Amino acid sequence: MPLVDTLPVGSDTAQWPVWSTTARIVVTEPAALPSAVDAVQAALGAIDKACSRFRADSELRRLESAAGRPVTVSPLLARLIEAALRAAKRSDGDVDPTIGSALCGLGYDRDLALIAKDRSFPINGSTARLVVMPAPGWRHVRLAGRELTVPAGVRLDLGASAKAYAADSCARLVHERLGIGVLVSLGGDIATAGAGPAGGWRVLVQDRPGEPSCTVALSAGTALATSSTRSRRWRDGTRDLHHILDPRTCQPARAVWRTVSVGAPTCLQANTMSTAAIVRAEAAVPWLRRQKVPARLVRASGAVLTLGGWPAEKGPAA
Amino acid sequence: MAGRERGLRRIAVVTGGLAVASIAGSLAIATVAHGETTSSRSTSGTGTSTDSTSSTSNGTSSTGGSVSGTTGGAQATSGGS
Repeated sequence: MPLVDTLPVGSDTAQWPVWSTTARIVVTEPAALPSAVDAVQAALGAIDKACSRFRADSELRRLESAAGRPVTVSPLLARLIEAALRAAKRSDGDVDPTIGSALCGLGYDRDLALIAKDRSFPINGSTARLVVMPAPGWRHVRLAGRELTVPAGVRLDLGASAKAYAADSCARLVHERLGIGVLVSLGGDIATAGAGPAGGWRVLVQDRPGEPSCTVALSAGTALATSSTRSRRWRDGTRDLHHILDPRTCQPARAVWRTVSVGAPTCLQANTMSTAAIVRAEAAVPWLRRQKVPARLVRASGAVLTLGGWPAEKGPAA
Repeated sequence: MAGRERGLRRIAVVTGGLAVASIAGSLAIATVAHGETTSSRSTSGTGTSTDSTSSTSNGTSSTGGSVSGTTGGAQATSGGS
């Protein structure tokens, strides 16, 4: 059972499935909940249409026919790509949007729910899928205003940054439009805007029910993201794969960490650091120290390491 | 003779300076070592360890500043499932 399904859904809360995960919003004014849901669903729909890798009619997919020529993109896609490039720069390339072809090559070329249903999934461990090679590299993607140039043959995957950007923008949208405090969670990528409840937004951080956990208070207007090597997994016949690729090899990052959670002023920043930490493996610890952010890292063994003022754990042993 | 005394005095000053620098260096190394030991110490028997390097060695606090401990029912989750 997904962790979020263990929580009650009160009059101030709504949740629904989206992008192979769960969207959950919590508002400070229950009367405004229906309007908040409408706003968030419309915004998520627009983002999906702009940058989904899985629908042929998305603006991102249509870019592939440009074959290296500059293209004027919509303001929304420009913002999403700008966010992805910012994440790449901040992470020194650990979060790289040019891994789209590699993900497709590994079999993650459709919604995960469809992969799980498809028993005749064609990947069977052929050697072609095990080639270790670096991603084309985010520095080859040029964005000047709304003019985007992607090298021919390069497929973009905005998955690492788009969900976090969506959480940030949806929280901001609800607050600005309705004047209320709101928490928006997209599969554990959490953004908040406006005034929060007394003591902050309460977030349960835990890998799975029954495992070590802590409930943290998230200050109003701040964010939290968790990246995981345990979610969004699939099997290619010989290997279990997960969706966080090391751009240097275009293979799933070594699962030194089961999950990494990071608190930051925005969800994009938090997600960039949590994803990069997974890619960096052991080197994530000194890197996160230098970022001076609160972070919780769960080893493959289940042991928990906390950094930067993250509160101590409560709950059963790892 | 006076020149020899000046030379001896200079040697004494340099030797003393080196001794002071050595002691200061040792204290600095000991301080850093103490900080590292503290940061790697487990805070409980549950497999959880807390790294406090950012507050013990350089006196800075998190720029995230967004997360603190709390109790009560959670309103959202963030995790690995």
